[in-house]
Amino acid sequence: MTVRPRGNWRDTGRGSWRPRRRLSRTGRETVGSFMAFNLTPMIDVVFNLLIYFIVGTTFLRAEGMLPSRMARLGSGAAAQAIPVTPIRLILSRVPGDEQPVRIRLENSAALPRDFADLTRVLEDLRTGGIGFDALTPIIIHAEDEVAWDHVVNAFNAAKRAGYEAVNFGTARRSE
Amino acid sequence: MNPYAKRPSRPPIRFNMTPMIDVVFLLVIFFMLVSQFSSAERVEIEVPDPYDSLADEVTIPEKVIINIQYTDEGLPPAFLIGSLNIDSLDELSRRLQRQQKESPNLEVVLRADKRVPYSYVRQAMQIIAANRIEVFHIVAKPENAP
Repeated sequence: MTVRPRGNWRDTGRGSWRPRRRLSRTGRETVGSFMAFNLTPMIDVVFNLLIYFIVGTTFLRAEGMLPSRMARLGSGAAAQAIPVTPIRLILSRVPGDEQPVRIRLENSAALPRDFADLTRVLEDLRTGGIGFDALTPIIIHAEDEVAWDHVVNAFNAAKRAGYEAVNFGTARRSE
Repeated sequence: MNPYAKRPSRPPIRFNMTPMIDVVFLLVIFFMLVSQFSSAERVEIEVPDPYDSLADEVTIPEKVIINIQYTDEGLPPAFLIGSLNIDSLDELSRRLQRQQKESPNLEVVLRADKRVPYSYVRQAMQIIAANRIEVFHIVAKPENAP
């Protein structure tokens, strides 16, 4: 047994209530003043919301930026003079090697295993009191075949180690 | 004048919110789509994902985006300025020069695919250096990015 709602409603006999119809003076059937719940606009709004979120999710491609400067050695219009001995960071790729990239520092005998290790080695160089500090420039040299991902990793590791001037050697390095 | 005379009944004024909400949502979707088209210079690229990344969002007022898109193993990558394909590195240099004339404080955003060999990125860097653009930004995934 359903509870009878307040207002001008009639039982349909199927467990639901419909607005009671009444005859006007002209004999036509009119619907009484009642609140009818129309689903159509709600569906409209729900579909609009759905489209909104589907379109919105394509924006969630997180990308950040690492600011850098060009290293300019030698005479001419040097934008950034390099007054002290820079730390040269060399990335190479040995075919058939298990490691995707080999990391080497020209000023140190240490051979970092990965980029987390590189950050530690560079930090030790900076804080070790052997003539390097945060202002010591780091120049990254990478071989032609080294993937850009590794070069950016090396750049990020050097920045993470607290060095301010991390540059890329744009000249091809002959070894 | 009879004060008790029955006034003509007016239909009640009702404010229907639904079409307005519909229109507002459609406008929002329209502008979101338009803004997506305008950001088409963000070409589909798998950007580097550094360990413990320091990459952060930076607002650059005058920028040019150089995209280097990975094609296939052994094939040279595609160079693009924004979404515009560049046929040669000379063209890249010319376009950079032109843009630098228009905006002298131009900064370059280098957006290269993580798989691209460094030799190609170096070529782009050499062009940036040759055009005396000092500051450039490397696009990478920020920390904890999905």
